[in-house]
Amino acid sequence: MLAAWTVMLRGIRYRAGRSFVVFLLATLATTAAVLAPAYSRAAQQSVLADGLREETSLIIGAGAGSQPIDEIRLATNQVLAREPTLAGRLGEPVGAVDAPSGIGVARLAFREHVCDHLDIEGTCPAQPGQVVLGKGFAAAQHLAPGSRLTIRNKVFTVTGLYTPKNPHDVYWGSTVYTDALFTNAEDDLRTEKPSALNTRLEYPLARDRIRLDDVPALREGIKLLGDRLRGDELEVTTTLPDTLDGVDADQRAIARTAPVIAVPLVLLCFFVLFLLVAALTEERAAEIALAKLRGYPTGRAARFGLGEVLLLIAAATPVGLIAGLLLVQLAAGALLAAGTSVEVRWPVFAAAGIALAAAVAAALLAGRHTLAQPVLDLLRRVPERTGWRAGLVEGAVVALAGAAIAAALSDRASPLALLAAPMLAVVAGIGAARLLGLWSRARLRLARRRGRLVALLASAQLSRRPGGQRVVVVVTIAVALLSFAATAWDVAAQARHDAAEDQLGAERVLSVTADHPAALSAAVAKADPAGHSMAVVRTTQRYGDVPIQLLGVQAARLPAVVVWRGRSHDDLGRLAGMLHPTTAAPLAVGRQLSVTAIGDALPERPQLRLAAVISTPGQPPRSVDLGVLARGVHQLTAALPGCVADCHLVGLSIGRASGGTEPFTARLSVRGLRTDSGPLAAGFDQADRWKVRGGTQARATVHAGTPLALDITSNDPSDVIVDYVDTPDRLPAVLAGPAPADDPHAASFTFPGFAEQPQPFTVAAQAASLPRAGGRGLLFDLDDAVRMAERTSSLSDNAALRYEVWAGPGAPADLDRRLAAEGIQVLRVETMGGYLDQLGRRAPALGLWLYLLAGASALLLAVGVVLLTAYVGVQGRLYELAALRVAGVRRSVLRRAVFREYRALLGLPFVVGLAAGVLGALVMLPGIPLVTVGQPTGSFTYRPGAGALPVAIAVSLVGLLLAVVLVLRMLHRATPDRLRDGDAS
Amino acid sequence: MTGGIGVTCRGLVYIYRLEGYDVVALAGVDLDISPGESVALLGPSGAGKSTLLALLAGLLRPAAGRVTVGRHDLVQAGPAELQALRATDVGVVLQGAGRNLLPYLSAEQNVRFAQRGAPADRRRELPAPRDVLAMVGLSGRGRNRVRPARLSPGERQRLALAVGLAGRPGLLLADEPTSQLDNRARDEVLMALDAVRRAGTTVVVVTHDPGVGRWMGRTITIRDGRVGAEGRRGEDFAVVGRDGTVHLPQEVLRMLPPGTLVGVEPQPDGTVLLVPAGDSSTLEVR
Repeated sequence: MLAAWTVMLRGIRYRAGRSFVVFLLATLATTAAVLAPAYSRAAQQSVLADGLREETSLIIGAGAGSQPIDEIRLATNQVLAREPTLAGRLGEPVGAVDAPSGIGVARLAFREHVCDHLDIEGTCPAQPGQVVLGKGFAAAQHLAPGSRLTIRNKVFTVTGLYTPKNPHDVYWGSTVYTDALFTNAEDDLRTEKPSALNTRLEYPLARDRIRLDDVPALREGIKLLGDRLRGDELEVTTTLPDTLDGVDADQRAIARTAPVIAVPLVLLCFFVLFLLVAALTEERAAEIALAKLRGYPTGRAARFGLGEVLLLIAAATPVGLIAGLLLVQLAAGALLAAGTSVEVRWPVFAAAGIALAAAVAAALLAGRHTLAQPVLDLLRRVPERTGWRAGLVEGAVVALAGAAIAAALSDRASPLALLAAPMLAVVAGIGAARLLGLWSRARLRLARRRGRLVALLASAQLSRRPGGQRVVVVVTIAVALLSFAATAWDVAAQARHDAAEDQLGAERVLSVTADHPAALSAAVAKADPAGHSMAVVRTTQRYGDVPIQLLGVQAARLPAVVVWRGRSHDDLGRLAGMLHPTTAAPLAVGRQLSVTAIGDALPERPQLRLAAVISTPGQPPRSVDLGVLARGVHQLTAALPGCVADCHLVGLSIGRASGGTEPFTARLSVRGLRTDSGPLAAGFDQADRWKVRGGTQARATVHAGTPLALDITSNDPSDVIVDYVDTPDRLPAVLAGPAPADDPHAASFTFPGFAEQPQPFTVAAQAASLPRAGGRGLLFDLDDAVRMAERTSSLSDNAALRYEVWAGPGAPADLDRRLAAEGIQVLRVETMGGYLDQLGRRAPALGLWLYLLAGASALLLAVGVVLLTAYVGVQGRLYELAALRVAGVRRSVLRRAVFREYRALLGLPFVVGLAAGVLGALVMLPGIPLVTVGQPTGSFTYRPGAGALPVAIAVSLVGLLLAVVLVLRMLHRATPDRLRDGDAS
Repeated sequence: MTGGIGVTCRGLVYIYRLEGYDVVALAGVDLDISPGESVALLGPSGAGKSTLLALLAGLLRPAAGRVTVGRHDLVQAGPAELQALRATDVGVVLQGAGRNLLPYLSAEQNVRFAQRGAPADRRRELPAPRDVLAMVGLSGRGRNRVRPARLSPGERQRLALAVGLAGRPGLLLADEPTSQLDNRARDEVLMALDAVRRAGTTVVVVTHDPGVGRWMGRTITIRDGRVGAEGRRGEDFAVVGRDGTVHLPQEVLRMLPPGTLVGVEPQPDGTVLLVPAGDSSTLEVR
């Protein structure tokens, strides 16, 4: 028995090469179709995972602070029992209570199971009234195990000194404990007023368990939890809903763009499949003719003609499905957030089903023409030209492409913009095919006239068969897609790099805690004496409703640390000089200060006294009384408690010894200043070194010289302060954006600084944006800014200050450990590489990865088409070549002719495709968000160089050359033996 | 085998419509072939032999005239009838053995493939492929399980014949069945054709080889789209067409080239004299 299956399978095996390529292309079509839903899903999950990375916990807080932890736990559990999704995404809760200890910034704290997470020298507190202290705090307070200390009127015994086992453990949640004094008894804090307590239950978020499908239930659960617990006077604190909102934008972008990106590839696959089935069916024309000659009915002849292809397509569908899923899994491992994997869901199967149906439809359509032909036409050797119908289809495609491009240009942000590039590629392909036809016919005429055999043979082949034009269209589209994707990738990579530089400002940025700016500067100096990292203090002030970023940086370290787009190392060096002009050295004082004063003309009444204004980093400036002024030369001395090495004399204060408001006039001189380490170089003879501080109604004049003379006439009750000027009059700053003043172009203005009091600034330079601060801000020297601020206030009380350490490439790798050793707690480390990785997993980058995959797949398709077009009809071609050899044409001539034919066949579409792809990218990219969703890129700079485009060009060339080599090898079999039997098929 | 079927052509005309011009391939062919007869169609290239074969197979529709194959009027027949004709009554052997065969099927499978064109009920009555192969001398030594590429040229041609006979047709049409074969292979093919003829099948063969023509018994020479001459039992005769035209043999044409005015003078003894005008030479036609 000869079953139809037997004939089909034998035919597939007989045409193994072509069958394999058809199978491969059908597989690729299914893979491309499956890619969109599978990749979308995985990319959305990745975006969710990345977005949740900073989410640590959900906090149930007792607003009034009075409820014990167990009550909070009970109330919360009752609600969570009804919200299984939310409950399942939360870890074991940790109860915590803390309150100010009254000792600096340290807090008395209770945290469940805290001793399990601490390395304790000593013992864990076992009873009420016992605490463990941080080692740094204990050293500063001169405490040790066994010591007793009073915390808010209660005496505690120190049982041990601790360091956290892992400060970044999820156990600690989002709570930052600086110098916490841990007790193991919640009741130790319950004696406090409830309003002083911060009682809460912290639920760590099980981020790795949160999947896309959970998001709606999580939102609902959190809302319900908040609503229900509000009745129990409990508050839910979490940034999860806001985070999910932020992630949602990226997810929607992916859901919108991934299918659009996949569409060109899928359509190309089906177009290629259509072409191939048409070509294969054409090749089997003689066999189909035989079937019809033997009286096969139309249906059976069609099954015979298309059965092999349909069987291959059906077999390819599950393989393509699996390949698509594997590809997405590989992409997930390489590109997406850790833990992301492919999910097999119904859209994937639906896509595969649609791909199968579309492939079958394409095959039926493709074979229809050949199957409908009569027997004698099927037996003809040269296939008929497609004629006017092909022109009609081309015209329709060009019109459609034009409409898509016009629509995309009017709204570049629309998803249609992503289709414009492949449409442009299609138009380019059709144009290239037409051009090749015209060119080959012209070359043929010329070659005939001149008798150039190689050119004649090549041009004859190109002009003779419509299959060549199909190859041109497919190769052009494939190269255009790939080069568009590669160009877009390179531009996006550069944009991401620029964004990372703008966002981070340095190779590594550590967010830290510090007592005050000077402490941070000192710690950085010790941790990195080589100067490759710098302390940065930042805050935000508002001008109207516009936030203005203030950045205090160590200007001297700027060139070695900062990454500032558009500024070279030399630029930064010059900027550093402008930001930190030479000023007088601060007057460092020790444990005592002596002043040699001369009372030239002093009033009888009131008695006047002299005081020293001392600034200690992290503390408010204080006035230290030196003594009553007397006539003649006399020395006034005072001890400076608490000053060891970091106190500075910032001014001298002259006031009424007994207070009051009695007016006075006086003249005095200061001859010298001395501290315990020796005389101070006070610069009395320097003009403007000593200046009367404003804000007083007294009239005072400083006369530079040795001694320094002061003339004062005052009826102001406040003291007259003469400042030692060791900072610029106006703080030089780099201004980004308009000046925060009435005149946006002002070169000098007054604006609140670190001390939140009006600070005079002068614009040293303008910038489009500041690193890590955006387009509205001021960047200035940290040391000068701190000294200016600490004349009037203590910066350690300013909770709005944020402390960072920016590290350059030469900074120590263990900078965080070194800072920790100096008492600086590192909260978070951001690196340029890490940030680029994050940006590389945002929706625009993920979309471009898919585009690159699609482009690479398209190129594979094109190479397959080249090979298959050569395979199909190879017998006839070999016969022709054999006949030419018998007629006397040398093999080398035939080889050169074939090479020239393929050089034109592939070279023209390569060049046209490359131009179309790059041009399409340069036109379309300004409208496409390349870094983050929302804002189109706008203008961009494209710097050709090492990147995806050269690789894409190289890969394309190699792929096409490989195809040519294989074709040449195939045609090597054109020997005269082929002419036996007169059989050209 | 079923009995052979006859062929009748009256005033058969076929015109090839090419780009910009028409070519009259057959200009009024009158032909009668009796059931079971073996006929060789001879003539120069482009005479219309293959066109006539294609018309007899129902592969082309005549521009004018009538052609009847058995009980089928091919001018009136629709596509379904023509398809059924080729499945049951007419077997076609294309020029070039390989063009008749599927290279990936064995000899027996090729015959079976050809038989699948017949309706299921008729298929049951068809001879077994082995028997068909045996008829053309392809049996034994496992030849029926061999693929065409492994057969000799003569065996391949006989296989092509077998495929044409697979449906037990009453009429076998073969185009150049002995071309590119050596003498031995040619003789094998001719013996196979003889076996087919003896089985009662009407055989019409297109050939360039006069030897094949003589072997077939009756030859019909097609010239300029018409039947120019016939040969029977080794003797050639010019055929007087329905419109009175006579195709003169080549040697006579050399004496009376086209365009020559001749007087036609019947003679009392039944011969006819052709007297060129203005010329004393005469040509006697008997």
